[in-house]
Amino acid sequence: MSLEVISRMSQPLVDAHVDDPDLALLRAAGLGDQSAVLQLVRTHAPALQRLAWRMLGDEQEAQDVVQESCLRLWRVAGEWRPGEARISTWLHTVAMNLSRDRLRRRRETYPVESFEWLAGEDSPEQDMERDRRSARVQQALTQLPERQREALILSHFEGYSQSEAASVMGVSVEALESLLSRARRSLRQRWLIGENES
Amino acid sequence: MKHSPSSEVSAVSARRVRALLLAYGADPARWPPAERVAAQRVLEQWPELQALAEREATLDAVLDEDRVAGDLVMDEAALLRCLPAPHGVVPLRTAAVVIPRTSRSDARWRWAAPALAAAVSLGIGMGWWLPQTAESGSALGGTDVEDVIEYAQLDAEYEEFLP
Repeated sequence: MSLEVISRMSQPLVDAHVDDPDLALLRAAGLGDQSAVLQLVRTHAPALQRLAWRMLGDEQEAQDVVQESCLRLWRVAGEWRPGEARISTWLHTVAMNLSRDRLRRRRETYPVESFEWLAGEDSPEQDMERDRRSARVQQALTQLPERQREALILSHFEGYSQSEAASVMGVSVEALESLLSRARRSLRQRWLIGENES
Repeated sequence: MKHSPSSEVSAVSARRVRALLLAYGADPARWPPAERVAAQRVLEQWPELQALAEREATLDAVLDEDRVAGDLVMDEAALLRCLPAPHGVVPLRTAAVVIPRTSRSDARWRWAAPALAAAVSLGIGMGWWLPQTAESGSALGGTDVEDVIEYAQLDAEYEEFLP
């Protein structure tokens, strides 16, 4: 992917006017400051990994996505234009796109039904129930339409603000709310939560 | 929404609160900050919205059972090993440039590489030649030594069993 394309990915972001706390770190990293590199990684890598893991359900693939996202940030660090995008939002957008690409490749290679979310088969007994419940949530997430799942991951699980989540997804806040509502309705129906009351 | 406890403005807000509940769930912390306080005020006035909030809280609780992502281990060291220096970093480029630029005072080191190569070649040659010699030595003379030892042992045994 060319630098122009990567830079364009940050264009629709709406929160760009906000001061970016990571900008100084990125500049320092660009000048070879290893502690800045470390701090950037420590700040963003865990959230990126969770995001990719929730999208892909595979720890190794999630780690690959984090690595690729950081690599892309490194590549554009020299040409980074402050004010166009927050670094964290940009990173999440890249990680989301990379996860989408991987999902697409999977679908081309394997049928969707062949994917099973791991429920911690080898976990100790006390963790089994927790893992089972967690796997239930994960499995339900995988069966949501992709855009609804992305909205729920960013907004509910990652706690992104409305504008940030909408920016990462490249949609309006209204569209984000619509996606969230539909996602939650699907999950309620799946788990039969109060559907008779609605 | 069939019953409006206050003004028409709050009825509009009630619709908005319903939309907020359906989109973001029952936790006001997830609602847009600009609407949060007003929405909570409206929620307190509408029993229907409170029932809806309870239902959404149940869904939130189920979603919050997903805790595996919190247990993910980030292999930070592996990640850092894979990452090259960010774009525009100078030290790597200068390292590549500095190495060929040797000064005249270091000219004597030009012979270091050929000398090292010659030493290595000599070592390999010696290594090749010496084992052959040792093997041939043991093949010729080794048997004699073993025979002597064997005979000596026989003699000793013979002497031992002498009456």
